[in-house]
Amino acid sequence: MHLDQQKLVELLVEASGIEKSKVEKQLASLVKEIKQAIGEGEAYELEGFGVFSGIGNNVIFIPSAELATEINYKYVGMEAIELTDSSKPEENAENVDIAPDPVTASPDEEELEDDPFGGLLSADEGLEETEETPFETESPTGEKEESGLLYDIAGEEGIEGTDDSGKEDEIPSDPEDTLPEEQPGPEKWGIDTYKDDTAENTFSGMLGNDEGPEDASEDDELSNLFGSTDEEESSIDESELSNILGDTVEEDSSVDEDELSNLLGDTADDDDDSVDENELTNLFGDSEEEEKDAADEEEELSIKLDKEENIEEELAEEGETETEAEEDDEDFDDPFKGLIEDEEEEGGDEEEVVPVITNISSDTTADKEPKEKKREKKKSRTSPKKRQSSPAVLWVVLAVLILGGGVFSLGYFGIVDIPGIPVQTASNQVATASSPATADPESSEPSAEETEPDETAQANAATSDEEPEEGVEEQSPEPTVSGTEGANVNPDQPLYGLKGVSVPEANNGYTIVVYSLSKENSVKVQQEKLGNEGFRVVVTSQPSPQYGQLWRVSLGQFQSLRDAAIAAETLTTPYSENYFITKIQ
Amino acid sequence: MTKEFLETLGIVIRDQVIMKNSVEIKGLGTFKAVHQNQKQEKRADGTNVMIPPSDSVEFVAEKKG
Repeated sequence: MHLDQQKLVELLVEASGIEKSKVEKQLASLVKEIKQAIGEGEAYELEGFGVFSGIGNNVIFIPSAELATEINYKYVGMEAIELTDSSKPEENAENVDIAPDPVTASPDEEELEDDPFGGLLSADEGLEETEETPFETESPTGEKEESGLLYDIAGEEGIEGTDDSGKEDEIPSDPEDTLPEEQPGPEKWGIDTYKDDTAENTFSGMLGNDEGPEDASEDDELSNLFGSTDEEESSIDESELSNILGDTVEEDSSVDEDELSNLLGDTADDDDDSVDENELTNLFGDSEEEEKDAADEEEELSIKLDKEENIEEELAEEGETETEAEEDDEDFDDPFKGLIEDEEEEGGDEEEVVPVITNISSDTTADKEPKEKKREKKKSRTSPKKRQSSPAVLWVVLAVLILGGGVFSLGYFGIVDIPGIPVQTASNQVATASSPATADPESSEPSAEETEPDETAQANAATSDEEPEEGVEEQSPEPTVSGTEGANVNPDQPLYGLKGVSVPEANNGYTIVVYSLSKENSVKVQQEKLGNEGFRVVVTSQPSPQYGQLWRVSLGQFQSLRDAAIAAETLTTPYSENYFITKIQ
Repeated sequence: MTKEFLETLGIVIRDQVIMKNSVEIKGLGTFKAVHQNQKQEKRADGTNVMIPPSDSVEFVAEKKG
């Protein structure tokens, strides 16, 4: 189609609202200026449009980058592809063009004329919204996000599963099965033979941080103890300590581990802890200060152990751990018995014997049995399994709760479309409202009757012939859904269409957004104006991070995007200049 | 010439060109849309490239006289 000067002037008058004479005058003035500039050998630039310049007697026009991009909007971003042998097309593929967009394609008209998105490029806002439209209509964004969430959740589950497996690893094998034979005690439990370098390195950092002057506090004592062990470069001690302190899972593997865990400030508040700590302090002190008189220490230890025995016996008499604790003790009795028996047999001669245990075993034989009892009792009281595993479980449960709550809230507020979670209707509520003229039943009935033929004709034109029969059946008057809109619905009005009165039943389709306003008063004004023009006015409110509450004033309700695009072609200015089609939310 | 007029002129010509209409400005020339089909080209280095299709605006100056 060719637009001559006269049609161009009409369009300019319609678009700008300037008088025709002024438009003609300004257009002539523009042409004159361009010619004058070119005649003087200069270029004349229209900002955002392009540059007119002259080469010889020829006038050339170089479009601006914006104009070139907007005109080439269909193919923007496409780059030349280097063809390999496998991807080389046939020779006659030179004239093959890209298939038209199925949404915009029309079987009856030329591709050029039936492009429903031609008007989308009329303004910058339209451009921005155009990019949003495919996501709103074509791509299942919600599903993608949902799948992402599922992936995340699966990841969390995986983490939990790892923890569970770790918990399973925590459970020691039944010691009764293997205790009496083969590798009793430390060899079986891997205390002395296994050296975890990673745990040692990890722990060495802690030791390094704790190295410092001696204090009376327990932590400093411990740091000194461990520091002294490092200084002595006792590989056996290090491995044992790394095993004990690094492998928090194997909590029941050693009595000394319990003691050390108590020393490291765990939650147990037993009365015997201080005694144990002193004991260990003395024990490590022995290894550190080798010249110290061992007899004195043994005496002190024996005194302390006697005290512990007394305390434990008292506790045992009180029956604190007579039931379950004793049963647990039975489970763990054997390995440690074996351990200590082993130590007793081997003494301090073998390399794998830990100095700590050696010192204990070097006590008087009378102290051994009470000490074993003491350890068993204390182990049963402290129940380290719960103490160690509970924080990890709590953290995992807390993380799952937070993630679950976040996911639910996202779905609840409609940010993520999660099946089964109802979207909050307050923020995205569709306020399908009829025009104020039709809001009053008395005043709306005559106007509705007057516009009935036009409405029906235009609505039928707007809707495709393929409109399902269900929609036709639903044309029967429905009860009012909200407000007064349903009361004024013409029984003959089709379910979908550009004109008429909006019906809630058609809110599952598409609409043509012509205004996006941030003030409700402006919305009402536009709603009234559009309603007076006979349009179906659909007002949707959406929370906008930039503008707060954003109101979209839309025209028509259409079953498909194609119907909406066809109807949008019939819009007149100013609606045809800047609009976009979106799904009614 | 007002800025509003110039902006409106640019928008109108752009929209009409996008809709594949040619717009004539008397005394100056005609704007029209030109579509280049996708085509295959052979570069100097021997490689074959597929040039994507494109739409562009073409200005044909009015003949003098």
